Amino acid sequence: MKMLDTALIGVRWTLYDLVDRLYGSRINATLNELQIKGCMDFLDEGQSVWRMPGRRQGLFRAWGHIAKRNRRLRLHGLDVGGILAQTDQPEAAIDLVMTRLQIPERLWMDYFALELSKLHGWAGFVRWRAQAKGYYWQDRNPADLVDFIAIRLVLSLPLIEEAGKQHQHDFRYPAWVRCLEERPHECLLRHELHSGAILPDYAHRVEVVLDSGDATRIKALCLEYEHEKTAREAATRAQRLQELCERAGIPRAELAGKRSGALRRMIEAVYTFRSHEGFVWTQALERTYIRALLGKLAAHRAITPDPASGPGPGEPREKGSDVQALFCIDVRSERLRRQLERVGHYETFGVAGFFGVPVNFIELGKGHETALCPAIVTPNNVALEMPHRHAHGGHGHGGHSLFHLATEVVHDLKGTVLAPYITVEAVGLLFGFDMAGKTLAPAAYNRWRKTLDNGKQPTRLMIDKISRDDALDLIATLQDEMVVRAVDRHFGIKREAITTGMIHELREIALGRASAPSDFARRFDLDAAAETLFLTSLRLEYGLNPDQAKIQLEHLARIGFRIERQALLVGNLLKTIGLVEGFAKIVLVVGHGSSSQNNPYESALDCGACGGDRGLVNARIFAAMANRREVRERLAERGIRIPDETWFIPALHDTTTDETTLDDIEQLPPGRLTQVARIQADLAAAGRLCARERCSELGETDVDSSESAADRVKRNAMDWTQVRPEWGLSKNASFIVAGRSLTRTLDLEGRAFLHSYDHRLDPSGELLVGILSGPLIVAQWINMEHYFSAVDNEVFGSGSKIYHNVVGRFGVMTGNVGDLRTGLPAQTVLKGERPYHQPMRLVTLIEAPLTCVQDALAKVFKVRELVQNGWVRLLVLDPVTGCASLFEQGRWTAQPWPPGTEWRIKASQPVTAPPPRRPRKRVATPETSA
Amino acid sequence: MTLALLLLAGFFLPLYPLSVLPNALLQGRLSADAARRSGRRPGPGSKIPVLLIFPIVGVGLATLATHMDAAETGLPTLFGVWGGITSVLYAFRLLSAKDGQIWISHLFSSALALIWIGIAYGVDPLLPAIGLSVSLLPLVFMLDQLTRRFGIARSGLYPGLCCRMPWFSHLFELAVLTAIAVPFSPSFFAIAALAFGGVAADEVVVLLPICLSWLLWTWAGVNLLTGIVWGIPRDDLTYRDLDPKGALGVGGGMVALGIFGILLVEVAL
Repeated sequence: MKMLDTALIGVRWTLYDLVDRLYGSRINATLNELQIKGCMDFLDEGQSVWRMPGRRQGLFRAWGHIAKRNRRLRLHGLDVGGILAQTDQPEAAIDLVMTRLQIPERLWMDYFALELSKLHGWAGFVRWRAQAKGYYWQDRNPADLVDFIAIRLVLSLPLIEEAGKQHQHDFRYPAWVRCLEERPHECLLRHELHSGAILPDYAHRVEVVLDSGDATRIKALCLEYEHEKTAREAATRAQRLQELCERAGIPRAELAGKRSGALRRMIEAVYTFRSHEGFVWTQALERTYIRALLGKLAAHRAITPDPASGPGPGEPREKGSDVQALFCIDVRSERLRRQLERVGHYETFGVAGFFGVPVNFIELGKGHETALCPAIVTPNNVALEMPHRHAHGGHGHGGHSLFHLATEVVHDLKGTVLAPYITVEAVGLLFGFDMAGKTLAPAAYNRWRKTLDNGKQPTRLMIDKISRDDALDLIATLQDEMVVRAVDRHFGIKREAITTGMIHELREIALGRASAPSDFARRFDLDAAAETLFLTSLRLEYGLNPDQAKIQLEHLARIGFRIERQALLVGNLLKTIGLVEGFAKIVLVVGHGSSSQNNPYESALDCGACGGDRGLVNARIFAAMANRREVRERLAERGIRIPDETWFIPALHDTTTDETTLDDIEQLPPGRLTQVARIQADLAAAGRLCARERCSELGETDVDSSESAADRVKRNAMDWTQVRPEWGLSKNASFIVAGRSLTRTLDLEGRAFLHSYDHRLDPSGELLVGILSGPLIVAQWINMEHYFSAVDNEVFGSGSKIYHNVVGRFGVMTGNVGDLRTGLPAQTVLKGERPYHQPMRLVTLIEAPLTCVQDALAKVFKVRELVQNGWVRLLVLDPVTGCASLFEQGRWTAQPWPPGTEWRIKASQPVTAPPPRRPRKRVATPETSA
Repeated sequence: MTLALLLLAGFFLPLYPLSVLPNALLQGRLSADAARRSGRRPGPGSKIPVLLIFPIVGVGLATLATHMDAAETGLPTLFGVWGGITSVLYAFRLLSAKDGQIWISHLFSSALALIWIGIAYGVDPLLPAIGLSVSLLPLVFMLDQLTRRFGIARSGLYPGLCCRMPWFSHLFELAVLTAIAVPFSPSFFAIAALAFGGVAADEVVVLLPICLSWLLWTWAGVNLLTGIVWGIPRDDLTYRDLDPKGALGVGGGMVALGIFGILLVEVAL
């Protein structure tokens, strides 16, 4: 046992930590509670009805304004008014507190880091918010870590001083140093007693002796206690060592014999192993997986004909084989792709689920933009959702309006202060029905609810650029509308009393393109002063000024994509996945999303490549672009000829129910509808097979057919008590960048991200660089998120969902007051107490010549760092040499890879030259081979 | 004479500061020196007579006093108020008690002091007194089991027993719930008998201390469970759970107590 070290004050312990540990107080807990409440009030993003006043002044000032008047703080003995009266600057407050506590300046940075780590979830959110560009709530209510630390220190000072008065001790820094140096035995015993580490049978004696304050007795007891504790620890370790040796087959007699040295060797081995034990298990897990994966691929290669063989150019495709499908690389797509290929003659591809279209999306009826792309990408373009037809006077959908009106009224009533008391009596029973329905018969109840809600009306996406003239016209129309409203409001003059010429003239004068007086002023006898006042109002209040017009023009300029850009995006994606010829008549573009109820983690189940949103919008945009004649013309100029009869159809794969729904079918040529019906049937069948696999993974019992499995997963999606609607990306292990021929028909158990790639179409390596710097990074983030959440769910994950509460509409915390939780919940990565997700680093397998991969790595700094520092396991299957190489400990090592001879010979032909133009080949499935 | 009898009863149905005697006995302070000399740890056997005999003696003395001329002097009402204050005082102190022996003694004092309310307002005190004291017996046994294993029965020293000693934890939780008078324990029916029997006479004097004490017992019970049953277990201790047969035996005893509680309600209410 070691005495407490003074060097750790301010580095490992704050001053109040020492008070808590040595005097059994709860300053840390009190401080956390008070700070969390302050943060919850300030950072709220619309959850609370009564909002904290003065938030625009910033976190510290807004909090200080309330704290000065908070009588509850005074009841706790916390008079922060004194400090806050001296300054309202967070930096000055920090300086004041640190000076009052006499903490040496050399320790300040360590002390701040300690303070931030106390509530790392909240501190992390404040930091993220402070650095997020264009984050609405940060712009509106600014907060940063300086504010955060200042609040914590200002609260801690009176708590420490109050504790000092209570225990009649000085708890400032110099006093603590003296205390630890002059009374080490007392400090040690106090620490043992209050930190919960004391030997239980000594607790009472220690307490009595400490109360006596007799230094001699304290020292004597401390020495006895140290001796006893050391002896017991030694006994426990000896027992464990003996058990270990018995398991290792070392007899007890040999262990006890002094000459053999077995005991010493064993102890040394244990200590050596302990320092890197975790990493050894991680490596073992990864090697097992890599070996199994290579074995599967080799076995598959042995029974699969050469991918380069197949139907030649001009040969007719097999009946029903005219469908290709683009899926997200997500591990959950692997099951559906495999089952779909098994059910029918489908050719599937994997690509990042935003389909190469980074876009800000404005949903119909919403006023904000949602970035639908990976977090590492900042979209420049905006897509607008527009209705197919306009609602008539707000009464177009009677049921729709009534249902939504009722929902909004009830929601508003719940949000007001007094109304709930009456609402409970009036409509409380309805909520009872709602609860009973959702709990007892979720599937039937949700179906009935859907009949009340007519759902979303059909929409189309505005993806084309508006021309400059159109944009100017649109702005001019809006400005005219503003003028009409202003005239009505200021003078009570209706539209029918003024002419279009007058409106235009007023607009032009306001914009500075014409001069007063106006016809309007002359017509209605306005004097110069009244006209000037009105024009000023137009400029300032209604935004009719050149600056505002410019901003509006810039906003409009972001809407849609130019045709060249559309062609570029479509062409890049098709080239990346190797689909540049041999297009089928129908190409499905399948985004994915999830369905669950009462689940704050729903976005964690949606598409990561779409910024944690559903992938349907990106699929619709991509399909719409690829179906455009102008785009195809430009693609043809680049050598990608999409036949006229080819049609891209967007679809959404619901990863919770494994249902796939086709979208925008109304835009299809009528002749395709028969084929679409068959595709829908195939997708449904494949989904049911996936559901059966999913039920087995979820541990569902009494599922004896794929139909019952489909019903079960649908119920999970609608059940509000279901904490695990699906496993999500749990168990993800590998990222395979290769043609589908490498993995087709293989059961990868939903553990692999599959990105299609044909190195023969990428002589410059640019496409591989794109894959490494985008999709791989996202996959690695996902992998690490699962890794850390599984390794220590309480610290890096977010614990059990059961106790979570949504806070401020931006996060969750455990209980009613706690730190913001980060990472994934236990229900996502653990099955009972055992990890369901196997924590291992992402095994990235690339099918390409090793030199190409090395060149690509050299170009991408971020990925190179990840690989070289061991965050990603990189495995290359070189089709030229037929060798598998694993990057390990800074060098490439050959892996046992039993190559298929025939494939190897054919593949060893030079591939560095640009690939010859030839139709895509089909790999025969075992089904077709048979 | 009446006053003397009532004061004497105050030693057995604890009234502060006369409660010093039962507290000292239940906390083992009187036998501590003897035990240290003999090197033997005092078991629960020394506490059981206090738990079972004190209430009966106290009720007997108080009944004797009331059968004399106490009712005319108004003394029982005064003692009722005193009992109520004593009960709330000990219930409040219970919140900060961590040591098992102190916990039991404070709960005993707080619970049995409530009997004075029954005596003051004409409720037959015998069955409620027995019900309140008998409900503490399982907890005395469970705390003794903790002392045998860890050398001391104290909250906060070995949290998370539910993970290491599940059989024990189940029974310990039941014992604590029984002691703090949750429904279907004899003590619950006992305080219900006191409350319903006396409420007609004076709502405030009867209901206020009973409800307040009950609330504080519950709070203290949760504190005790938090410090022993829940939490993250220590790795440096050796844990030994109850064997299933022993657990079933203690569990059976608790069921018998529950049945006794129901019989109590049949008779007392």
